[in-house]
Amino acid sequence: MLSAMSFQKANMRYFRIFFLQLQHAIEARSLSVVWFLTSLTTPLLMLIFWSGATAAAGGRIFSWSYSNFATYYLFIALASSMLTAHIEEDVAFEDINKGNLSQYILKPFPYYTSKFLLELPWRLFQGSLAISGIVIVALFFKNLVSVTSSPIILLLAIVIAILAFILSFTFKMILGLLAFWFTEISGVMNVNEIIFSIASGTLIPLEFFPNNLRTLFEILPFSYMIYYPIIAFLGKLNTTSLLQVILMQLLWIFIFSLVYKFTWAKGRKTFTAVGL
Amino acid sequence: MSAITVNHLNKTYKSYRKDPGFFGSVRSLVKRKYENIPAVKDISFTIESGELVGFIGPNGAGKTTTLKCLSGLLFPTSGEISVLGFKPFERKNEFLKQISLVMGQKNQLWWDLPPMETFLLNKEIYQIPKNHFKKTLDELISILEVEDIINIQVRKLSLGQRMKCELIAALLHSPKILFLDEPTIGLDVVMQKKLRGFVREYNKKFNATVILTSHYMEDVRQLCDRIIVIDHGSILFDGKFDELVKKHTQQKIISVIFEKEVLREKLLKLGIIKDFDLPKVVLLVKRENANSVAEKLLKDFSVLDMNIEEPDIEDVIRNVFSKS
Repeated sequence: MLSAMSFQKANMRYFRIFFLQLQHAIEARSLSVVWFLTSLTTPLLMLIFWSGATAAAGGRIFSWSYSNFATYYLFIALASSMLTAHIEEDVAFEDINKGNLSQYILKPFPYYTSKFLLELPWRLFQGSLAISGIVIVALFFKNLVSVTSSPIILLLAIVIAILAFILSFTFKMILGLLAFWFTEISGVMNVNEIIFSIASGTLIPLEFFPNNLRTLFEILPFSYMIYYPIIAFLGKLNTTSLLQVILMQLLWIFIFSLVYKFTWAKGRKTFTAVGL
Repeated sequence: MSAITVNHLNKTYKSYRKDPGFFGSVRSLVKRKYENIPAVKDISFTIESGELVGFIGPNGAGKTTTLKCLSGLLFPTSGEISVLGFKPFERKNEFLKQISLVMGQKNQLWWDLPPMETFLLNKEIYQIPKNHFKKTLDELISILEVEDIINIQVRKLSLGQRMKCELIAALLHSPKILFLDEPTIGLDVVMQKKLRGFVREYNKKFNATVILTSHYMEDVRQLCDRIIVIDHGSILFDGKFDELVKKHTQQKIISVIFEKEVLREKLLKLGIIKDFDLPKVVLLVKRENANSVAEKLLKDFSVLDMNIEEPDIEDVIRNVFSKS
């Protein structure tokens, strides 16, 4: 009974911290809207490209019609704004390079959790913008947005989406922590952006890649952050495949959490708490 | 048990050195030169609980590095640190809940939100019980007179108001050890005085151990019973303030206001004339002669007023550093 109470109390603590961070995200809402609009650029450009391409190819490319493409990129916009963490610059530039990390180190609260609770409201806020967008589109073009109707697949897709965010977040945390060793971390981040946009399916659906590249992308973690959550919602995977995706996500989260722990422990020893 | 024990602490920073100019940059592409810069060299000291200790030293002396090591921000290159029985770098929750580090130039307040939100956040992070939180907050707010500003966005506050709120945020969990790094930097004289009074009161009231670094000697002189002078990463002096003055100054200052005109030559026999602006004259005399010179002045001249003072603290410190 006592432990149940203290468990509840501890949860309240995260809840309250989350709400304070949410207030902050709302306070800076104009920034949030701008970021959301930025995340729309690539999907919109790709959509224009595929509209021309499908028309030239006589209506279909492989098995994809124009409306399939439209749905895919609509969900890419949602996934990029809701599931992709953007914490790496904050960690690298604000915390490590400018020394703000000191404030986190001095507090009896884990850095990873602090940052997670800081990032989550932004994703929810921008995600809700994207969802409202999709709802509006769905109202006008009834055939464009078709998510799976199976409750089990929908449930598994939600699990995949949550794991995708945790995976993306942990990966971006590690990326940010590299600033302990590299003062010019922007280069590494740009390279990551390029690899990510290709290997995650943000630019082109993974089906269109040659087989060997596709196999590589199925092993790499990036497709589990964007591509698989989307096709799971679109109902393109059966239960077995969905479970395989979850297994791969758990495996990558496990690997990344070990790498994170190692990077954090090693990096903290090199931290000089500059700017104080 | 001592609150803080430091044994043979060393901290060396690794720094990349680039030759000047374009070719220096090109050369650094191929081969980077790294250099080890010792910030703290083999220092040891012990601080008892309830002590108020001042760290003095010029820029780059190693004061802040020492504080950073004590609070667990930096990993010591070698040596041992124990704060309340904990190794600071390990960041045990029990340790972090008992300390606080306030930095004059860095803040923990959320820039876009009112200070109250940061206070509430700290309440959750430090798991401060509701009643305790309310009591401490009310007390701090009334001592620091910030009733009107705790619900205004931080970015709209003045530096002094922000500093007061920083202190509140740092003290809500009633830390047993308080590290203050340049707490009065950039504040006006009135505010500095208030802050000093507050630190003294906090130290007395909660028997808290306070370690303070400052450029302003007044901060240290008025607050600290004990001072540790650091330069080039080594401790030059550790002891009571008066001892430092005695040890490093052989002179005292006698300022006299005469009733009648006096001849400069007559005064020269008594000591060095620092200032001769009749009716006021300032004399520098040997510490051991101060009393006899004073007696002589009173006997041989008509004196309206006379003061025997210790030399200016800035001069004393300059003296210590010049010897190092």
